[in-house]
Amino acid sequence: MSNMFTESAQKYNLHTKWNDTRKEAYFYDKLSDQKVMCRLCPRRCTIVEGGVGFCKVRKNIGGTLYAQSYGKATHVAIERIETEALFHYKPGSKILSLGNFGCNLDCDYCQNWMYSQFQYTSPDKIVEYTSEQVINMALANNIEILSWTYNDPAVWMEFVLDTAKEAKKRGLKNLFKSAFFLSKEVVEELCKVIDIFAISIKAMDEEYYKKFTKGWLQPVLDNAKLVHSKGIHYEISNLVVNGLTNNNDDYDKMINFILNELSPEIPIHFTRFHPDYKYMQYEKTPIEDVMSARSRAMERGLKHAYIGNAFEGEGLNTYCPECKELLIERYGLCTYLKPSLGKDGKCLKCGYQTSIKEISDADEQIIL
Amino acid sequence: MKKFKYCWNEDTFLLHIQLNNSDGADYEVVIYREYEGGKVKKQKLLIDGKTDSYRTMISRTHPRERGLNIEYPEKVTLQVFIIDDRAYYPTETYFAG
Repeated sequence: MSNMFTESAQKYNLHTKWNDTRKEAYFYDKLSDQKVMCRLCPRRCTIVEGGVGFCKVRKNIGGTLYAQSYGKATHVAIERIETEALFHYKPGSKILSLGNFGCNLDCDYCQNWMYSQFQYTSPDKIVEYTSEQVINMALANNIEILSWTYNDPAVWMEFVLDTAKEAKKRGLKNLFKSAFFLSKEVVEELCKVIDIFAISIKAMDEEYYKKFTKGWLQPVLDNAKLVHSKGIHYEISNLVVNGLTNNNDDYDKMINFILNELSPEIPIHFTRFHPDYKYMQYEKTPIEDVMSARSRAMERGLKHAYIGNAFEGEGLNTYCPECKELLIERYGLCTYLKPSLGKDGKCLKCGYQTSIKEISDADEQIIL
Repeated sequence: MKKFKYCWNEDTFLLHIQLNNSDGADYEVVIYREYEGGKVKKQKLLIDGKTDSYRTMISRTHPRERGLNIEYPEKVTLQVFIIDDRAYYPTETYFAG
């Protein structure tokens, strides 16, 4: 469902009205003349008293930076882990997906723009939660994973870190899905509390990043390498945008980065775009394009490449990289573990050790 | 009981459903998945009464699944949202009742 942007889109401008001092931000420096410099992301916004950063949810009030979105959510839903383009960690498991508002990017095709661009967020969509309430909601629904997602949780950092830390004590895991346009020190802190990362790399081109996302690429790549070095489970997704990145050059750059800088074992998800926000001039990405990206990745040595935003097809399934046995079959966001997949992630036909972790009986499998 | 019926199509295989109820009592919602050849599979959702608002994703499970029927108590309001991208959180309802 596309939400096309128009100049007449209603602005609520809550960032000009709120002055919430309940939570001082982490990651900032105080400067002279009551200014502050935020260190959350590479923008390093210098914010004057009464002003906000690019993301509009970090506000300088009296020379102190406050996190305006702390404890406030707009999206809470029970989903499956595959929603986050994560196929190799606890496949089929339920997650509690949480989203907020604001963003440190402004992608022309953002499908959640009415939340990511905070000036357009309506106050009646915002609900307050404590960390305790979020954790209890997960436990009450037998959910083991909190998923920080939707608009980028980068700008919700204080609430994510605080809640994730408490959630770990209560036996929950944390998943962080992000464009990873963050400062290195923040990623180091995240790595202490996050168990699973879903890293969205928009393209492998600086000019693309500047023009279409208003951010830049190199910090994203550096952060991906940092996460890789920690040994934490992560998978990469790339939105294949019709008219922009649905071509072999772009696929190859992405594949080369993973092969040369990360590992051929890292799953890559090539996801279909649909028109939204300010990028309405193209149709949804043809499924043939993401299948072509997937085939190219597999031919060049990546062990696991998938497609996203499709209902069926081999691009959704997991096959043993060695003997090609079908290990996991997927339709939409439903997951069917095959008898050929061992609980330890090994292919029981040939013994190949896959990177699939935390395999348990998926909920409510439908056998036909 | 109230009912909602939906037939999957070429473009749609994901829905969000949101159930709202404020009387504090637990309740049950039943999803009947209808398959080619007449087979029906029943799934139950048990909703804790302490939850005023419960939102979850429903995915088509198989190419042979043609659609679904959701049955829910009279006191409950169901909202249905169509999702055409798994990372999208829709706020415009397709159905409310």
